This record gives sequence, structure tokens and C-alpha cells, in this order.
Amino acid sequence: MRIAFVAGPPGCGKTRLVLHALGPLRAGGMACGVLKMDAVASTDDQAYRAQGIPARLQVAGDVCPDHEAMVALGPALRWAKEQGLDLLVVETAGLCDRCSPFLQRALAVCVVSGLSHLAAPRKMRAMVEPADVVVLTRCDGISPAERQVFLQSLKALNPGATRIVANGLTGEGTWALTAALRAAPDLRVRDVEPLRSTLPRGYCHFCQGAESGHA
Amino acid sequence: MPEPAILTVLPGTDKFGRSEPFGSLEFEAGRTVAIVGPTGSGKTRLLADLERLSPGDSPTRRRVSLRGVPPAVVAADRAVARISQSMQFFLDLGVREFLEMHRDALQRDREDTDLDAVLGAANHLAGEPFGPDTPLASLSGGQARALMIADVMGISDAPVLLVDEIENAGIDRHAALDVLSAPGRLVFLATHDPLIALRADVRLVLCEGAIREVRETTPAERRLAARLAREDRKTGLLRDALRRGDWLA
Repeated sequence: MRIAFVAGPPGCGKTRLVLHALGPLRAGGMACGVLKMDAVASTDDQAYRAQGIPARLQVAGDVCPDHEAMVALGPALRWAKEQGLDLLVVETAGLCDRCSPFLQRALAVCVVSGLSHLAAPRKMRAMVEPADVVVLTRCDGISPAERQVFLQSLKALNPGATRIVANGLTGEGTWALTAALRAAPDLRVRDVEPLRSTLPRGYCHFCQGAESGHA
Repeated sequence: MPEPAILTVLPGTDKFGRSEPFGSLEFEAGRTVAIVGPTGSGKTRLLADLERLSPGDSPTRRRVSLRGVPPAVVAADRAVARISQSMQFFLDLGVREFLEMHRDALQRDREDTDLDAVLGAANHLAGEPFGPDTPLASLSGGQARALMIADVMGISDAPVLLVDEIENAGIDRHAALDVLSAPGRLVFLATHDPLIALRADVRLVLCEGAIREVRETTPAERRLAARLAREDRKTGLLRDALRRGDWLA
């Protein structure tokens, strides 16, 4: 099964982007499914199911989202296997920006909104730097010159990544993401580990849900 | 002599999924092409397809390609520049700082790129002047478009230029177009303005999202353009007087 992580802050357009990018793959007979991971709340799994795409939602709630993501991954992979998926896309929101949600061998896609601050990619470098593909969205409201400056700032952080400008509403640019997903590494479930980023040295009990009694 | 730049458009579909009525359209460097049609007919959508050299993943499914331009220029995103009617700057940067970043983003040579000249050209087109430290986001609509035009000339220097309804940009549209129409550049002008449309060698007529017709500008139309230009200069003088606060009659 091919596995791709698509990560980016809330509202940067991940879901629409993935829906567009999966279109040609599904039309070509590839069985695609989505695991949506979010920290607090999401209804994006419904958007996928509405298009006939098997989707599963995992909300971290009281637990550190990155930690929860890794705990949830095993059951999610078994679910994906039961569904007979050829491609599993793990769509995950910003998490806490300290860690990257990417696994060593799965395709890593990072989505950044062109309407965010020029310094934003640096602040979420845990997601930008280790990504194989960086997608810049929401460029329709900014000037071409600003888009080029934004792309340069992404290139400076991660020169080796494939950079794509895409529009999740119209589908423009999503074929390049389709091609990347089609070529995502074909992994066996036991190959899926470990994370690309180093884990924090300290853990906070609040983050583990100590305060609400779930620790 | 290298082959001149040629932009090719392969047909897509209109808003109802019907195929566009042409085999392929080719536009050579040095030509000026007007894009006309009612609001909502797909002029801006066509410009977006041209800007991206769309591989076919836009709503129109048109495919656009460009040959005769060095691949490095295309790869550096320097082949096609666009000036848009509604665009405002958004980044939290000063004007000069932004121009420096844009020059570096496009990998332009520092010595060859005269940023003071870019600023000067922008102020020549804009109404009230702005300085190198003026925050981008505080520029007026007209000032922002003037800066974009100066940036396109001095920094992007793209072989293909797209201009969206410059008549609504709050600047002297003909001064802007004179500046932008460098020899050898392929220029597309989406417009509702007869005088601007008649600057073009050919015009594309859009309807329901599709390119319906391709019309060469006729000699009679060129004579009309000369007449319109005289009237337009008179109107321009009145516009200037109005801006200064003078009586108009």
C-alpha cells in the first residue's frame, strides 16, 4: 500500500487539494482512502465520504496530537488494509508545529497558504524542512511577485523539495500532486516507522491530559 | 537567430463542458492580443490558464505551452508576468525590501537590476509618490498596480505579459501600456475598453467561458483607434484637472 502524509495548518486547503489530486488516480482504478487526523475537531472525513472515498477520523483530544497520530496509525493501517486500499493519504492539521508528522519512508507533503505571513514557513519548519513536496495554496489573492517571493522562502528552507503552486478550489496545479501521490512509496505495514523529526526532550503533563484526569 | 517565442493554446471546454471551436491557437512574440467578452465570460480564467502554462488541470481543461523560451527562464517562473485589476499587495514588507526579495527570488543579477529605477518608474505612473520604506500593504490600489508594472519591467522582464483590465487600475492606462509593450514581448490584454482592444493585432472573443472567435484588427478599426485616441487625450486632460481640483468648464 502506498502511503502519503499531507500536513499543513488548519484552513490552508488540504482537503480540497487532496480531493482534486485523488480524482485522476481514482479514475484510473486506484483504490484511495484517507485518514484524517486533527487535534480538536474536524468534519473533513465527511467531505471525503461524500465523494465516495473511504475516510476515517482521528481526533487527538486530550493527548499530544503527534503522539496520538503515531498511536492511531497502527489501527488505521489495518483499517486501510481491510478496505483494500492501494493508496492511503494521511491528512493531518498543524499539530503543535514542534514536531513533524512525517514518517521516514512515506511520502511527505507539506501545504502552506500564500495568505499566511512570510515568516510562517520558518515557524512551521518542522513540517516544511523534511517534506518531499511543498504545496503553496491560496495564491489567487496575492500578486505574482509575492507568490514568487513566498516560493523563494520555501526553497530556502527546503531546496530539495518539489514545489507546487495549487488551488484547491479550482484544481489548478493539483495534477503535479497527483503525480507525486501516484509515485508514493509502496510500504508494508511493518516498514512504517519512525518519524522524520526528533522528538521533544521534555514532555508536559498538561499536554498529556493530566489536568483533565486522562493521563 | 533563435526561434521566436510561441505560445500555443489547445482547446478546452466552455462552462457547459462543450469543446472550444478551434484546433489550436498560436501567438508569436511581438504580438499584442486583446481578450474581450462580457463580465463572467472567462477572460480572467483564460489569463490564469496562460499564466500557469496550464497542463490541463484548470476548470477549462485548456492546455497551454510555450516554446522558444530558455527552459531555465520557465523553470525560474520568469516566462510569464501578470498585472491584475484587483490585486493588492499583502506582505508585511517595505517597498524596497520587497523589490530586493523579488529580485533575489527570480535570481536576477544584483548589478543589472536597478531598484531605484524601478521605484522611479512606479512613482512616474502612480498619483501621489511613495518612498522605499513605504509599507507595501499601505499602498493605494493605483500605487500598488504602478509598482507591479515597474516590477514587471525592471525585475521580471518576462517574454509574455498578461494584463487584466488595466482601465480599472487607477493609473494612466496608456502610459502603462506604452511602458509594458516592449519590442518582442507577447502581450495579452483583457479589456472592456475599445481603445485598449484596438492596440492589439488580434482579439479573442470570449463567451460562456470559451474562446468563440479570433478577429484580426481591421484597417478601418485602426483608423477608428486614431480618432478615439484624440478624444481620449481630451478626456485625460479633464481627468487631470479634476484630480487637481480645478473647474472643468
